[in-house]
Amino acid sequence: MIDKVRVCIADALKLDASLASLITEDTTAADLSGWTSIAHLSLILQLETTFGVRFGNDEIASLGSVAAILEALAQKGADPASD
Amino acid sequence: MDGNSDQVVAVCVPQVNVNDLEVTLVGWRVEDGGQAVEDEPLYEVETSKSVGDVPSPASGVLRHVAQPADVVGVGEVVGYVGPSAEAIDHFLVAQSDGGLVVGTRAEKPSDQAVTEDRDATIGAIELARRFGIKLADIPAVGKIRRSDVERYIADRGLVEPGGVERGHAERVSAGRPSAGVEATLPPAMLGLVEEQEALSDHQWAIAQHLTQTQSHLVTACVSMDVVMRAVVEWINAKRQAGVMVGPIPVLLYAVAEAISKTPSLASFRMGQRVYRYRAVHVAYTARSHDGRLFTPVVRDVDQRTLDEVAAEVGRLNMAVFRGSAELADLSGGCMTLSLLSDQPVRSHIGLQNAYQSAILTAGAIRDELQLRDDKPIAVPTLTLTLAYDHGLMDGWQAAECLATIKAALEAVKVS
Repeated sequence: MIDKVRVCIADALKLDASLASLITEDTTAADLSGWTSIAHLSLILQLETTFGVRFGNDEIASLGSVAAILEALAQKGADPASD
Repeated sequence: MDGNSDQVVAVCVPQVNVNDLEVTLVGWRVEDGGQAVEDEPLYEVETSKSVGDVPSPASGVLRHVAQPADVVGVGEVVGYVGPSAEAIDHFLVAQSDGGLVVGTRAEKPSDQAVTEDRDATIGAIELARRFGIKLADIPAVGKIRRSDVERYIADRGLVEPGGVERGHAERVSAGRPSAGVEATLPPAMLGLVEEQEALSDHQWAIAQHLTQTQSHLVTACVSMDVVMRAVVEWINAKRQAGVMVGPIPVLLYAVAEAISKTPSLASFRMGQRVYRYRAVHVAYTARSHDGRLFTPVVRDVDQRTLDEVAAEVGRLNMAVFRGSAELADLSGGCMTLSLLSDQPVRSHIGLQNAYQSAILTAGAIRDELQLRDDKPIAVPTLTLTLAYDHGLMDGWQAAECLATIKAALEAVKVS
């Protein structure tokens, strides 16, 4: 699942492949200068489209890290083996 | 009277969305002659962005004036609530005898006005005067609205004295009664330009809104640089913890502090009259996924912690981005904050929204070099610009407001 999350982040933040490959479960918004509050909104829509889930508007601010995104996706039943 | 209002209260359309001067009445929640309850949903309106309920200003018997599907202007009366049907009848008779509406407890001042022997909104009066039309000639039931005048103009193909083209009437009759009157291109320009696609309804609503708003204001601006080190540390700490925030919550928080010291920021002027908002609800600009501009409102900013403001901004940002913001998310702001933080902008000047006198704007946080112990260091800096109504406050007061905001921003603590 992290590979798909990595693609979503790279698309939303317009990262090149070399930077995108450095994204891990430990990556937070503070690590990527392009992860702005506006880019974050695009990222959420990208994640929703890719994984077929819907995040509540209230929970979106807490998804500022890869770990939090993976956990939220798992809670919503997104397939953890999905690549 | 079972909790009914002891006076007749006009039900006026509030400013439910800063970009809309008119709304469509979708339907009534209480039937004509039924019992309205204060603060309970009374009628439903549709703006260019959303649909939502408007609460009743009072308890009592309801008299409908506007009907479902009517397009009504902000501040216009759509009904009356009174202690009894008879009381409303007496009130309306007194009003038609030449008296102005009394006892109105609408949230916003009404645009209603009486001229000649007919009751009309200020928009209707203004348009009728421009076309030299007597209000008495305009067929309308009850108060004459701008849409009545536009229909009258369209039906007769009238041309505004002084050079408004027939195209206006055609536009009105083509189903855009709120389009207003457009300027005509001078003949000398026709060979130099070619007409492009018209503005979208959303863009047009914003243009109309700002044009009308600016005619009521004497706008002046003052700018001030702020050291954003504390704010940047707060943002970074939050992001390290996986909480997505930007500078908007901190700026809203600082604005609320300035409003507490200078209430004129949360006031506006209509001619000589001054109105002050009862609550510190602050609007800020945000864009939807398809690029439309919205102004969501964080309510009671002065009653919330910074983290609570940040959480609400996060919720509103997503609602706007999805295009799912509700009426309550977009109404009631006492002033506005506008940021171009993702653009290499140093400063810009905002235009105040309707029923507001001030807008605070800022560009991106930038690094500026300063000398410390003879060594250059980078200092994160933001330039704030406050556009204000010079009829309400002067430059010295505006600078004091900025100084309060600056102090609040520079004192932000990482929680």
